[in-house]
Amino acid sequence: MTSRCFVIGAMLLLARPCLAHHSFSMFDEKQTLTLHGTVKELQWTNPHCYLQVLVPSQGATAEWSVEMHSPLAMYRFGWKPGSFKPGDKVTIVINPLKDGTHGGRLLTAVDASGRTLGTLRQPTAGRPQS
Amino acid sequence: MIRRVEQVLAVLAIGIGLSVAHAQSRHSSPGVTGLWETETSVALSNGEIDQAAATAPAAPARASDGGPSPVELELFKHIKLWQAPPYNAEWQHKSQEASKRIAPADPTQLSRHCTPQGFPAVMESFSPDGMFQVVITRAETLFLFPDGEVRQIYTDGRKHPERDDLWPTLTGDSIGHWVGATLVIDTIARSAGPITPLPIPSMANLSDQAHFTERVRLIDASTLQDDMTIDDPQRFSHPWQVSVRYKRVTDVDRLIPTNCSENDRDAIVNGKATITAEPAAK
Repeated sequence: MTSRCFVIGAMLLLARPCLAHHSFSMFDEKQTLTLHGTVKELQWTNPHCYLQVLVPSQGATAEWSVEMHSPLAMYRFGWKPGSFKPGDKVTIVINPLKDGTHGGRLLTAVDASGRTLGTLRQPTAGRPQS
Repeated sequence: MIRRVEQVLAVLAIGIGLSVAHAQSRHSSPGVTGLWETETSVALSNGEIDQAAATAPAAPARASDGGPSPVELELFKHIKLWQAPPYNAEWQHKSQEASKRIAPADPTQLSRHCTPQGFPAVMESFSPDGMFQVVITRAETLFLFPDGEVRQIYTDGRKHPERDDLWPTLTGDSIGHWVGATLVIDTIARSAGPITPLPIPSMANLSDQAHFTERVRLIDASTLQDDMTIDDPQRFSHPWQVSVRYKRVTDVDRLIPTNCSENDRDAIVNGKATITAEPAAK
Protein backbone atom coordinates (compact mmCIF):
# COMPACT_ATOMS: atom_id res chain seq x y z
CA MET A 1 0.00 0.00 0.00
CA THR A 2 1.73 3.07 -1.19
CA SER A 3 0.58 6.64 -1.25
CA ARG A 4 2.65 9.31 -2.85
CA CYS A 5 2.41 12.90 -1.88
CA PHE A 6 4.32 15.50 -3.76
CA VAL A 7 5.16 18.31 -1.44
CA ILE A 8 5.81 21.51 -3.29
CA GLY A 9 6.99 24.52 -1.39
CA ALA A 10 7.26 22.68 1.90
CA MET A 11 9.75 20.22 0.50
CA LEU A 12 12.74 22.14 1.68
CA LEU A 13 11.52 21.96 5.24
CA LEU A 14 12.49 18.33 5.28
CA ALA A 15 15.58 17.87 7.34
CA ARG A 16 17.99 15.19 6.40
CA PRO A 17 21.17 13.44 7.26
CA CYS A 18 24.09 15.13 5.59
CA LEU A 19 27.59 14.69 4.38
CA ALA A 20 28.78 12.59 7.28
CA HIS A 21 29.39 9.82 4.81
CA HIS A 22 27.97 10.90 1.48
CA SER A 23 25.80 13.48 -0.17
CA PHE A 24 22.07 12.93 0.00
CA SER A 25 21.52 14.22 -3.50
CA MET A 26 20.66 10.59 -4.35
CA PHE A 27 17.35 11.08 -2.56
CA ASP A 28 14.50 13.03 -4.10
CA GLU A 29 13.75 15.67 -1.54
CA LYS A 30 11.02 17.11 -3.74
CA GLN A 31 8.99 14.06 -3.01
CA THR A 32 7.79 12.31 0.12
CA LEU A 33 6.49 8.80 0.13
CA THR A 34 4.40 7.20 2.87
CA LEU A 35 4.71 3.44 3.22
CA HIS A 36 2.75 1.10 5.46
CA GLY A 37 4.49 -2.18 6.08
CA THR A 38 6.13 -4.65 8.39
CA VAL A 39 9.64 -4.38 9.77
CA LYS A 40 11.95 -7.07 8.49
CA GLU A 41 15.01 -5.75 10.33
CA LEU A 42 16.42 -2.67 12.00
CA GLN A 43 20.10 -2.64 11.08
CA TRP A 44 21.79 -0.78 13.92
CA THR A 45 24.99 -0.27 11.98
CA ASN A 46 27.56 2.31 10.91
CA PRO A 47 27.94 4.44 8.94
CA HIS A 48 24.14 4.34 8.62
CA CYS A 49 21.28 2.51 10.29
CA TYR A 50 18.75 0.93 7.96
CA LEU A 51 15.15 -0.04 8.42
CA GLN A 52 14.24 -2.93 6.13
CA VAL A 53 10.50 -2.76 5.58
CA LEU A 54 8.27 -5.26 3.76
CA VAL A 55 5.58 -3.36 1.91
CA PRO A 56 2.55 -5.02 0.25
CA SER A 57 2.20 -3.90 -3.33
CA GLN A 58 -0.15 -5.23 -6.00
CA GLY A 59 -0.52 -8.67 -4.46
CA ALA A 60 3.17 -9.07 -3.76
CA THR A 61 5.58 -7.82 -1.14
CA ALA A 62 8.46 -5.49 -1.85
CA GLU A 63 11.39 -4.90 0.50
CA TRP A 64 12.40 -1.30 1.01
CA SER A 65 15.78 -0.20 2.35
CA VAL A 66 15.45 2.99 4.34
CA GLU A 67 18.59 4.83 5.32
CA MET A 68 19.09 6.82 8.55
CA HIS A 69 21.95 8.41 10.45
CA SER A 70 24.63 6.52 12.37
CA PRO A 71 23.67 4.70 15.60
CA LEU A 72 25.18 7.52 17.69
CA ALA A 73 23.07 10.12 15.93
CA MET A 74 19.91 8.01 15.99
CA TYR A 75 20.39 7.31 19.69
CA ARG A 76 20.48 11.07 20.26
CA PHE A 77 17.17 11.32 18.41
CA GLY A 78 15.48 8.80 20.69
CA TRP A 79 16.15 5.54 18.87
CA LYS A 80 17.55 2.40 20.44
CA PRO A 81 18.73 -0.84 18.84
CA GLY A 82 15.42 -2.43 19.86
CA SER A 83 13.14 0.38 18.75
CA PHE A 84 11.74 -1.85 16.02
CA LYS A 85 11.72 -5.64 15.93
CA PRO A 86 11.00 -8.02 13.06
CA GLY A 87 7.27 -8.27 12.53
CA ASP A 88 6.43 -4.84 13.94
CA LYS A 89 3.92 -2.84 11.97
CA VAL A 90 5.31 0.52 10.86
CA THR A 91 4.35 3.54 8.84
CA ILE A 92 7.29 5.43 7.40
CA VAL A 93 7.68 8.71 5.53
CA ILE A 94 10.72 8.86 3.31
CA ASN A 95 12.38 10.79 0.53
CA PRO A 96 12.65 8.05 -2.13
CA LEU A 97 15.73 7.26 -4.15
CA LYS A 98 15.89 9.14 -7.42
CA ASP A 99 16.76 5.99 -9.33
CA GLY A 100 13.37 4.48 -8.57
CA THR A 101 14.61 1.47 -6.67
CA HIS A 102 12.93 0.51 -3.42
CA GLY A 103 14.82 2.70 -1.00
CA GLY A 104 14.96 6.11 0.55
CA ARG A 105 15.94 8.31 3.43
CA LEU A 106 13.85 8.16 6.55
CA LEU A 107 11.98 11.23 7.75
CA THR A 108 9.66 9.64 10.32
CA ALA A 109 8.60 6.18 11.48
CA VAL A 110 5.44 5.51 13.47
CA ASP A 111 4.98 2.21 15.28
CA ALA A 112 1.73 0.38 16.03
CA SER A 113 1.27 2.27 19.30
CA GLY A 114 1.46 5.60 17.50
CA ARG A 115 4.92 6.52 18.77
CA THR A 116 6.83 8.64 16.25
CA LEU A 117 10.58 8.49 15.81
CA GLY A 118 12.54 10.49 13.28
CA THR A 119 15.88 11.87 12.22
CA LEU A 120 15.66 15.17 14.07
CA ARG A 121 15.53 16.07 17.76
CA GLN A 122 11.84 16.83 17.29
CA PRO A 123 10.85 14.06 14.86
CA THR A 124 8.02 15.87 13.15
CA ALA A 125 9.39 19.40 13.20
CA GLY A 126 8.74 20.84 9.78
CA ARG A 127 7.89 17.45 8.39
CA PRO A 128 4.72 15.95 6.97
CA GLN A 129 2.83 13.61 9.25
CA SER A 130 2.42 10.05 8.11
CA MET B 1 73.56 47.19 52.32
CA ILE B 2 70.71 48.86 50.54
CA ARG B 3 72.17 47.67 47.24
CA ARG B 4 72.30 44.05 48.51
CA VAL B 5 68.68 44.28 49.59
CA GLU B 6 67.76 45.59 46.15
CA GLN B 7 69.61 42.69 44.52
CA VAL B 8 67.86 40.16 46.76
CA LEU B 9 64.50 41.73 46.04
CA ALA B 10 65.25 41.69 42.32
CA VAL B 11 66.11 37.99 42.44
CA LEU B 12 62.98 37.30 44.46
CA ALA B 13 60.87 39.27 41.98
CA ILE B 14 62.28 37.34 39.05
CA GLY B 15 61.68 34.10 40.90
CA ILE B 16 58.11 35.01 41.74
CA GLY B 17 57.54 36.09 38.14
CA LEU B 18 58.86 32.81 36.80
CA SER B 19 56.74 30.89 39.30
CA VAL B 20 53.64 32.79 38.28
CA ALA B 21 54.39 32.21 34.60
CA HIS B 22 54.96 28.52 35.25
CA ALA B 23 51.79 28.30 37.29
CA GLN B 24 49.87 30.01 34.49
CA SER B 25 51.16 27.53 31.96
CA ARG B 26 49.78 24.79 34.18
CA HIS B 27 46.43 26.40 34.62
CA SER B 28 43.55 24.85 32.79
CA SER B 29 39.82 25.12 32.63
CA PRO B 30 38.06 22.03 33.99
CA GLY B 31 34.86 23.28 32.37
CA VAL B 32 36.39 22.60 28.98
CA THR B 33 36.30 18.86 29.59
CA GLY B 34 33.33 16.94 28.30
CA LEU B 35 31.43 16.44 25.06
CA TRP B 36 30.95 19.20 22.50
CA GLU B 37 29.36 19.66 19.10
CA THR B 38 29.39 22.58 16.70
CA GLU B 39 26.57 25.10 16.68
CA THR B 40 26.01 24.03 13.07
CA SER B 41 25.40 20.46 14.22
CA VAL B 42 22.86 21.74 16.73
CA ALA B 43 21.13 23.83 14.07
CA LEU B 44 21.02 20.89 11.67
CA SER B 45 19.57 18.54 14.28
CA ASN B 46 16.95 21.12 15.17
CA GLY B 47 15.88 21.54 11.55
CA GLU B 48 17.06 25.15 11.43
CA ILE B 49 19.29 24.63 8.39
CA ASP B 50 16.35 23.19 6.50
CA GLN B 51 14.14 26.09 7.36
CA ALA B 52 16.84 28.50 6.23
CA ALA B 53 17.08 26.60 2.94
CA ALA B 54 13.34 26.91 2.51
CA THR B 55 13.53 30.70 2.58
CA ALA B 56 16.79 31.00 0.62
CA PRO B 57 16.81 32.21 -2.97
CA ALA B 58 16.42 29.49 -5.58
CA ALA B 59 19.36 27.14 -5.64
CA PRO B 60 21.61 27.12 -8.70
CA ALA B 61 20.98 24.52 -11.36
CA ARG B 62 23.47 22.08 -9.93
CA ALA B 63 21.20 21.40 -6.97
CA SER B 64 18.65 19.70 -9.17
CA ASP B 65 20.96 17.77 -11.40
CA GLY B 66 22.90 15.68 -8.98
CA GLY B 67 25.01 18.17 -7.07
CA PRO B 68 24.42 19.21 -3.47
CA SER B 69 20.82 19.39 -2.35
CA PRO B 70 19.33 22.78 -1.37
CA VAL B 71 19.79 21.99 2.29
CA GLU B 72 23.37 20.92 1.71
CA LEU B 73 23.99 24.18 -0.11
CA GLU B 74 22.56 26.03 2.88
CA LEU B 75 24.65 23.93 5.22
CA PHE B 76 27.83 24.78 3.31
CA LYS B 77 27.27 28.46 4.14
CA HIS B 78 27.49 27.65 7.85
CA ILE B 79 30.78 25.77 7.66
CA LYS B 80 33.41 28.44 8.11
CA LEU B 81 36.35 26.28 7.12
CA TRP B 82 34.67 25.60 3.78
CA GLN B 83 34.58 29.27 2.84
CA ALA B 84 37.11 30.85 0.50
CA PRO B 85 40.43 31.58 2.22
CA PRO B 86 42.54 34.70 1.60
CA TYR B 87 44.54 33.17 -1.24
CA ASN B 88 47.41 35.05 -2.81
CA ALA B 89 47.10 35.88 -6.51
CA GLU B 90 48.75 32.65 -7.67
CA TRP B 91 46.45 30.42 -5.64
CA GLN B 92 43.39 32.52 -6.33
CA HIS B 93 43.98 31.79 -10.01
CA LYS B 94 44.60 28.08 -9.35
CA SER B 95 41.43 27.86 -7.28
CA GLN B 96 39.36 29.45 -10.02
CA GLU B 97 40.83 27.09 -12.62
CA ALA B 98 40.21 24.08 -10.37
CA SER B 99 36.58 25.03 -9.85
CA LYS B 100 36.04 24.91 -13.63
CA ARG B 101 37.13 21.28 -13.65
CA ILE B 102 34.53 20.20 -11.09
CA ALA B 103 31.59 18.45 -12.71
CA PRO B 104 28.75 19.41 -10.39
CA ALA B 105 26.28 17.09 -12.11
CA ASP B 106 28.15 13.99 -11.02
CA PRO B 107 26.63 12.80 -7.72
CA THR B 108 29.48 10.39 -7.19
CA GLN B 109 31.81 13.32 -6.61
CA LEU B 110 30.01 14.11 -3.40
CA SER B 111 29.80 10.49 -2.35
CA ARG B 112 32.06 8.11 -0.54
CA HIS B 113 33.42 10.54 1.99
CA CYS B 114 34.87 7.79 4.12
CA THR B 115 38.35 8.95 4.99
CA PRO B 116 39.38 10.53 8.29
CA GLN B 117 38.61 14.22 8.28
CA GLY B 118 41.95 15.29 9.67
CA PHE B 119 42.75 18.69 11.11
CA PRO B 120 41.35 21.33 10.90
CA ALA B 121 38.15 19.89 9.36
CA VAL B 122 37.62 17.62 12.34
CA MET B 123 37.12 20.70 14.51
CA GLU B 124 34.08 21.71 12.48
CA SER B 125 32.07 18.53 12.06
CA PHE B 126 28.43 19.28 11.47
CA SER B 127 26.53 16.01 11.59
CA PRO B 128 24.72 14.79 14.73
CA ASP B 129 27.49 12.26 15.36
CA GLY B 130 30.25 14.82 14.79
CA MET B 131 30.89 15.57 18.44
CA PHE B 132 34.20 15.41 20.28
CA GLN B 133 35.32 14.86 23.85
CA VAL B 134 37.95 17.00 25.56
CA VAL B 135 40.17 15.31 28.14
CA ILE B 136 42.69 17.38 30.08
CA THR B 137 45.68 15.78 31.77
CA ARG B 138 48.78 17.31 33.32
CA ALA B 139 50.87 16.59 30.22
CA GLU B 140 48.41 16.98 27.37
CA THR B 141 44.90 17.83 26.31
CA LEU B 142 43.13 15.32 24.12
CA PHE B 143 40.40 15.90 21.57
CA LEU B 144 38.73 12.54 20.93
CA PHE B 145 36.38 11.98 18.00
CA PRO B 146 33.78 9.21 17.44
CA ASP B 147 35.48 7.99 14.26
CA GLY B 148 38.67 7.28 16.19
CA GLU B 149 40.55 10.41 15.29
CA VAL B 150 42.56 11.96 18.12
CA ARG B 151 44.22 15.33 18.50
CA GLN B 152 46.98 15.26 21.11
CA ILE B 153 47.92 18.71 22.35
CA TYR B 154 51.10 18.33 24.38
CA THR B 155 51.21 20.82 27.24
CA ASP B 156 54.28 19.45 29.03
CA GLY B 157 56.57 22.11 27.64
CA ARG B 158 57.99 20.14 24.75
CA LYS B 159 58.74 21.76 21.40
CA HIS B 160 57.75 20.58 17.95
CA PRO B 161 60.12 17.89 16.63
CA GLU B 162 63.12 19.01 14.65
CA ARG B 163 62.67 19.23 10.88
CA ASP B 164 64.39 15.87 10.26
CA ASP B 165 62.08 14.18 12.76
CA LEU B 166 58.85 15.64 11.45
CA TRP B 167 56.74 14.88 8.41
CA PRO B 168 53.24 15.97 7.41
CA THR B 169 50.26 14.03 8.72
CA LEU B 170 46.48 14.47 8.65
CA THR B 171 46.42 16.02 12.11
CA GLY B 172 49.83 17.68 12.11
CA ASP B 173 51.91 18.12 15.28
CA SER B 174 50.36 20.12 18.10
CA ILE B 175 51.80 21.61 21.25
CA GLY B 176 50.02 23.91 23.63
CA HIS B 177 49.96 25.77 26.88
CA TRP B 178 47.33 27.20 29.14
CA VAL B 179 47.10 30.93 29.61
CA GLY B 180 44.70 31.08 32.50
CA ALA B 181 41.61 29.30 31.27
CA THR B 182 42.51 29.53 27.56
CA LEU B 183 44.26 26.66 25.80
CA VAL B 184 46.65 28.05 23.19
CA ILE B 185 47.51 25.46 20.54
CA ASP B 186 50.26 25.62 17.95
CA THR B 187 50.05 23.14 15.05
CA ILE B 188 52.39 22.53 12.14
CA ALA B 189 53.11 19.72 9.66
CA ARG B 190 49.55 19.20 8.50
CA SER B 191 49.54 17.33 5.18
CA ALA B 192 49.10 19.49 2.09
CA GLY B 193 45.67 19.35 0.54
CA PRO B 194 42.11 20.60 0.82
CA ILE B 195 40.37 21.18 4.15
CA THR B 196 38.09 18.26 3.22
CA PRO B 197 38.40 16.13 0.07
CA LEU B 198 35.11 17.26 -1.42
CA PRO B 199 34.65 19.09 -4.72
CA ILE B 200 33.51 22.34 -3.18
CA PRO B 201 34.89 25.13 -5.39
CA SER B 202 35.71 27.44 -2.50
CA MET B 203 37.39 24.75 -0.37
CA ALA B 204 40.78 25.94 0.88
CA ASN B 205 43.77 23.97 -0.30
CA LEU B 206 46.62 24.28 2.18
CA SER B 207 50.34 23.70 1.83
CA ASP B 208 52.21 21.58 4.34
CA GLN B 209 53.78 24.81 5.57
CA ALA B 210 50.48 26.04 7.01
CA HIS B 211 50.80 27.17 10.63
CA PHE B 212 47.77 27.00 12.91
CA THR B 213 47.28 28.92 16.15
CA GLU B 214 44.17 28.22 18.19
CA ARG B 215 42.80 29.80 21.33
CA VAL B 216 40.21 27.51 22.91
CA ARG B 217 38.16 28.90 25.76
CA LEU B 218 34.79 28.74 27.44
CA ILE B 219 32.32 31.49 26.59
CA ASP B 220 29.94 30.22 29.24
CA ALA B 221 29.32 26.87 30.93
CA SER B 222 27.69 25.40 27.83
CA THR B 223 29.58 27.21 25.06
CA LEU B 224 33.14 26.66 23.87
CA GLN B 225 34.95 28.68 21.20
CA ASP B 226 37.99 27.94 19.07
CA ASP B 227 39.55 31.07 17.57
CA MET B 228 41.79 29.72 14.85
CA THR B 229 44.39 31.56 12.79
CA ILE B 230 45.73 29.77 9.74
CA ASP B 231 48.85 31.24 8.23
CA ASP B 232 49.97 29.69 4.96
CA PRO B 233 52.64 31.99 3.54
CA GLN B 234 52.96 29.85 0.41
CA ARG B 235 49.30 30.25 -0.53
CA PHE B 236 47.64 33.02 1.49
CA SER B 237 48.01 36.77 1.17
CA HIS B 238 47.46 37.14 4.91
CA PRO B 239 46.50 34.92 7.88
CA TRP B 240 43.00 33.47 7.82
CA GLN B 241 40.89 33.94 10.97
CA VAL B 242 38.19 31.35 11.66
CA SER B 243 36.12 31.09 14.85
CA VAL B 244 34.04 28.00 15.56
CA ARG B 245 31.59 27.74 18.44
CA TYR B 246 30.47 24.56 20.15
CA LYS B 247 27.61 23.67 22.46
CA ARG B 248 27.93 21.18 25.28
CA VAL B 249 26.36 17.82 24.45
CA THR B 250 23.89 16.79 27.14
CA ASP B 251 21.86 13.99 25.58
CA VAL B 252 24.62 11.39 25.72
CA ASP B 253 27.21 10.94 28.43
CA ARG B 254 29.94 9.17 26.49
CA LEU B 255 31.62 9.04 23.11
CA ILE B 256 30.05 6.20 21.10
CA PRO B 257 32.25 5.01 18.24
CA THR B 258 31.23 5.35 14.63
CA ASN B 259 32.65 3.28 11.79
CA CYS B 260 32.55 4.18 8.14
CA SER B 261 32.85 0.68 6.71
CA GLU B 262 30.81 -1.64 8.95
CA ASN B 263 27.68 -1.72 6.76
CA ASP B 264 28.45 0.56 3.87
CA ARG B 265 25.56 0.12 1.44
CA ASP B 266 25.86 3.36 -0.46
CA ALA B 267 27.06 2.11 -3.81
CA ILE B 268 27.69 3.79 -7.12
CA VAL B 269 25.74 1.80 -9.74
CA ASN B 270 25.97 2.81 -13.38
CA GLY B 271 27.40 6.12 -12.31
CA LYS B 272 24.57 6.89 -9.90
CA ALA B 273 24.56 6.85 -6.11
CA THR B 274 22.07 4.41 -4.62
CA ILE B 275 21.51 1.96 -1.77
CA THR B 276 22.37 -1.68 -2.32
CA ALA B 277 19.54 -4.08 -1.57
CA GLU B 278 21.55 -6.48 0.54
CA PRO B 279 20.99 -6.23 4.31
CA ALA B 280 23.85 -6.15 6.75
CA ALA B 281 26.03 -9.23 6.94
CA LYS B 282 25.68 -10.95 10.30
